[in-house]
Amino acid sequence: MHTSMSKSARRALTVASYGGILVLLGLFYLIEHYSRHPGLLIGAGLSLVVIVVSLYYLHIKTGLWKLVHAKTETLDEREIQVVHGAVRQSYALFGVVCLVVIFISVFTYRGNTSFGILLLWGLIYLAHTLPSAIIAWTQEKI
Amino acid sequence: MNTRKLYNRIAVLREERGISRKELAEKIGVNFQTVGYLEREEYNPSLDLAFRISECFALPIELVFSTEPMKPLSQELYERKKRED
Repeated sequence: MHTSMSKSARRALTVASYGGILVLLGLFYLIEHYSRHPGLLIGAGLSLVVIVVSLYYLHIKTGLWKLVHAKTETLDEREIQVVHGAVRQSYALFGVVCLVVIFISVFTYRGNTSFGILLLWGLIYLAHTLPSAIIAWTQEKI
Repeated sequence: MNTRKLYNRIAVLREERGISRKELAEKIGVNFQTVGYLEREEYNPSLDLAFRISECFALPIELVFSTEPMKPLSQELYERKKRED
């Protein structure tokens, strides 16, 4: 199941994955508050496809999802070091992102919860994929 | 703390004995990808793992690992023989 992929390809997929979430959030916000233009809806659909495809190729096919979600007892000493390093960096970044999101929310709240729910799902996605994305970004070979 | 790079002869010893990375990995209790990292000297093993590797090859640890670049085994053997003669 494990597929080898170059570091540059993994970085490109990481950018596509998180870029897709930002684009989806932006388009969803525009759709909800301004217009249901077909172009925006198609764009949102395409963003979702990009997210799902990059999730599959970057996290699932490379085995990284399995690696970062595995129990510590099943990992060897090198894997433990790599995963723990990634988790440490992930949650520092995750904390910063949460604070920025909360800060933006305070200034943009217009009483509509749908965007907030999507934002919440985006943060949950980020929390679960950030460790494997960091490994994909930093490691020479996986 | 800055850790030093450790050099090793794992790849050569493995080839000599006709063992695959997967077989060596099973013997020493790691993932076969970790054997690759060890052979490329991109990962320093713990003391326990270093001893397990040395025991697997039935060699003293200083013949398998070093803090300085290692000479080819053939050269080391030749120099030892010269000293004994």
